[in-house]
Amino acid sequence: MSIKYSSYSMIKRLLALVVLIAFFACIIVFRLFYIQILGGYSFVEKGLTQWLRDLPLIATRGTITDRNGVVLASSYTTYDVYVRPADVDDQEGVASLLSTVLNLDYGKVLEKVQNSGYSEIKIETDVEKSTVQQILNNYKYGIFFTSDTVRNYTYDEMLCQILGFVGSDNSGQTGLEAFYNTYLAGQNGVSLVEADLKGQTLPDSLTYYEDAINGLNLTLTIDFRLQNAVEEILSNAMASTGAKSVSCLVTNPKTGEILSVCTLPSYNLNEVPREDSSLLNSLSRASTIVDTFEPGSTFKAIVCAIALEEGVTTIHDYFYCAGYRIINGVKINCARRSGHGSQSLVNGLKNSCNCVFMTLIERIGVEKFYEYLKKMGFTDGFGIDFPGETAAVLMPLSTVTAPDLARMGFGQTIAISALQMVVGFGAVINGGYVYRPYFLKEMSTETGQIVYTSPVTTITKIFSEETSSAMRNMLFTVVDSGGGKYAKLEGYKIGGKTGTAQKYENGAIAQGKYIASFIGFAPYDDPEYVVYVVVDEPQGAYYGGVVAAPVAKSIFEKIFDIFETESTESESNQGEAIELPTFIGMTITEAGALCASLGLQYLVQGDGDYVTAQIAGPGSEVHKNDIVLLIFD
Amino acid sequence: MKILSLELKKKPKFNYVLFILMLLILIIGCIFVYSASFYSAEITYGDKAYFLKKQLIGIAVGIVGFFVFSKIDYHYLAKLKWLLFGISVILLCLVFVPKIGVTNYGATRWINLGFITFQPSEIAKFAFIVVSADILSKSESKVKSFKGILPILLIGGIFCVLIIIEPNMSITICMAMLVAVMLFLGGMKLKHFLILLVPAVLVVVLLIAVEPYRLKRLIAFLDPFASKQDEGFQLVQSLLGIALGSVFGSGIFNSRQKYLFLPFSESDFIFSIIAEETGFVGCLIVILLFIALFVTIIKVARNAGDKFGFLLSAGIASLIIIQVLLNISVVTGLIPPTGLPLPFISSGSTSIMIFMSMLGVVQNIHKNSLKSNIF
Repeated sequence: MSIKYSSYSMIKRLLALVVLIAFFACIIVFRLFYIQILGGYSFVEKGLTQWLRDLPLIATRGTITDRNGVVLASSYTTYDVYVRPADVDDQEGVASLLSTVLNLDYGKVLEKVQNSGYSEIKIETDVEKSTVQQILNNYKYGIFFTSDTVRNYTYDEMLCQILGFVGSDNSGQTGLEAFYNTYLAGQNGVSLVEADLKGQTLPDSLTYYEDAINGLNLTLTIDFRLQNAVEEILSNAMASTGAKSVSCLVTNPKTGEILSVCTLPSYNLNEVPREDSSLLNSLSRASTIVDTFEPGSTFKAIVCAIALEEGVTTIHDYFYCAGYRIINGVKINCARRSGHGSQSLVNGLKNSCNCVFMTLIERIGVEKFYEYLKKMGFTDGFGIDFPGETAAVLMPLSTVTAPDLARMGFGQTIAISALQMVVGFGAVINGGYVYRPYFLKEMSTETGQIVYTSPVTTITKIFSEETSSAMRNMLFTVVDSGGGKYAKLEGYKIGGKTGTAQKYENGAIAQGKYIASFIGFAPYDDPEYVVYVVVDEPQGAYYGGVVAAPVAKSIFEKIFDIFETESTESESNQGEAIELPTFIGMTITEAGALCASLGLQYLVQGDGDYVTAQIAGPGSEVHKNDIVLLIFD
Repeated sequence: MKILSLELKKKPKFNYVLFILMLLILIIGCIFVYSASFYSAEITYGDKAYFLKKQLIGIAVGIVGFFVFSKIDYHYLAKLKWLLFGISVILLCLVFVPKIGVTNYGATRWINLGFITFQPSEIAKFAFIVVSADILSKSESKVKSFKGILPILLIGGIFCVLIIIEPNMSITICMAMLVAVMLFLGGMKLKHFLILLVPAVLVVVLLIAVEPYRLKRLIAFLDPFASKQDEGFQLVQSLLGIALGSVFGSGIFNSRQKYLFLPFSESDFIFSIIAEETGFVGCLIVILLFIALFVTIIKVARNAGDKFGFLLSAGIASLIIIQVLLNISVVTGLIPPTGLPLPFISSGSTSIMIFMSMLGVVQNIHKNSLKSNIF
């Protein structure tokens, strides 16, 4: 078996070749083993993004409606038109269809359609559904659409600071749009399609499909009819007072629901002035909630209630006003420089006498006073469903001097938000309950199923019913015959308090700059509405009673109009009729006891020792819980 | 050895093992050419079976070639060697004649004869084996001297130069390896090998320096993921497909990479599709089939009637296995990407017809082995 024709061993060399080949084959097999079995390239998952093309399914943002379903903010869909050049069979046909329907230049569209360098090319954006339908009617392969939602605010400026606006990504940036963004936004879905390198969908491709979950619809506590009226009234007030800004809050003191809120000037939510960020920032601030100011005399209602609750005064209490008080060597004036003389508590409130409230707060003491503010949630916030709720700005307890405290008695040297004023005042007149204020009534799905209803939340009960009842009666007289008389509406029972605060700028009184305000409630014996009007820097007349009270009156008028609250006359035909006895000649103690025995309420006016006159007169027919006005002159 | 000699006493008529192995590999080729190409063929030619049909035509012609060459006495080829060499050189030059030469992907490797487009370099490889086998078998003593191997180097060099200027680096490398194998089997002294190695390395460095894209490819090969959108794209896609194959693969026809992700999935990178669809097990089967084919031809070489037959069949076996190993090395990222078809499997009719014809030659060598009874 030797090789006859060769001197070298051919077999050996052949074997060497086979061994060499086997060696290289082994390397290759090991290489395959490494890649396929040891997972040497375990980054294969990367391939998934290469093979699948995802088409986002955009969730529709929930609508925002008022408490009765009037749509305030909603989203509608626009479409973007794309062409996938790889999928187009008939380039000229696609170009002519799209250029005709979309009013585009045929040549430019054709150029895009023929551009195979991209998997998708956008032809047009923000196309309406009807246009899409037109294209679909003559559909040619290779045309695609994506949809996007656009936010629309039905009433442009209405509630602009409260509703807020959305960004280009459709997520809420300010206001309720931001606060409830998660719920409004819903969840985008996704559809994954298997595609080739060029993005063309494969035949029989397995697709992963997750439907979008549309956002929830919000129903607010706001009443559109009232809101509409308030905005109109405020805008008139803005014009007639020449004020820098006018705000109003209307709440339900029995629940904390905010029925209306408005601050002027406003801006159009559909044309947000994004180019001027400082202007936008100032216009979009919900200043009634996020900003503080010195409320002035309206705050006396809260001080008075604390004083009554603490027992440092009674409705029979008397005070003397010389037109000023000197406290620790600091002279603090009353609004009436000549003084109010001797006056009862109710007259002090009616006259808005600063001296009375300096005295009252002195009696309460700063610790107790601060404790009340804290309990009422002024220092921590109420937890309103709105971003950026501010806390009251209080001097540090240790630095409060007696004159500082005295000024707090009439609502200066203390800064609170309009919301705090409204909630605190609500507790004064609603029987003593501090309710958490809120905007959201309920949330529902797109099919109308209610998934959440805001509960009424009591933060604390701060005042007794007695205190509250006395406050209601007194505040009624303020409107009936005191400083708030410009808010008086014939036939309706409105109570309230005016305020005229001096504005401070850089620590000093800003001459001629005032905040005129009025806070009122109705009906006074069973309050259902609190209305707070703040006029910032009115020109000319600046007294709250003159500038703000008439605005509040117009608003009350609208409230009664809209909610058809029955007027005092028809409503008082309840309970048994009582023939009113005479109180003339009685002392306040005797008259008080008689009223109590008859189940009547009473108000005191004048500084005399004996009743000299009464309203209603003796023999009049009254009902239980009616008020008798006793005049001591 | 006794058993072996007993076997050899039988008259070998037809090497069925060779034929069956060839058919098996061809069938595998048809399946995967179709699997890898039906999607792109549908898009490009509107016919899913476009590449499969071309493949079947190539196989049909190849079968004819196989039987024709198995009938022709292989010694006849030795007489025709200069004709083969001349035709190869002419065809390789024709590539550069405008309108006949076809340029694709920046390389002019094909000539268009109107009814068929083919690569002359495929014929050149076969021509070289015939020429070198004949020269080496006739000048046994000369091989021992360095002078004696010069004709082989010259002929190999002419082919290499003509192929490299197309340019076609991979077939040049293949050709160079073939030159080395033929000289080795022909009995060249090993020290001559080492002497030749130095200029060979220099030439490779020069070739890389001349064409910057080769350097780019080389760098891309070292870290394909750095340029996975450009130079490294094909390799990354290939590795991805192989990795996905895992042990048993995604199943025949289930490749995802064929959806245009892997360029040349039906030709040079078809092994990646095989790896993806049949996994490690499938790869092993394919590699074992090629090894079996190689060993079968080597057996024929060992039993060849004369040294010409021995060198001719061993050369053919080497050419096949070299191309298989180079191709799979490229696909698995062991060596830088070059365009080299996987014999009998990759789409490409020239390659298939010539390889099948070469197996016909092997068949003839086998048929004539007992007559000479050299072993």
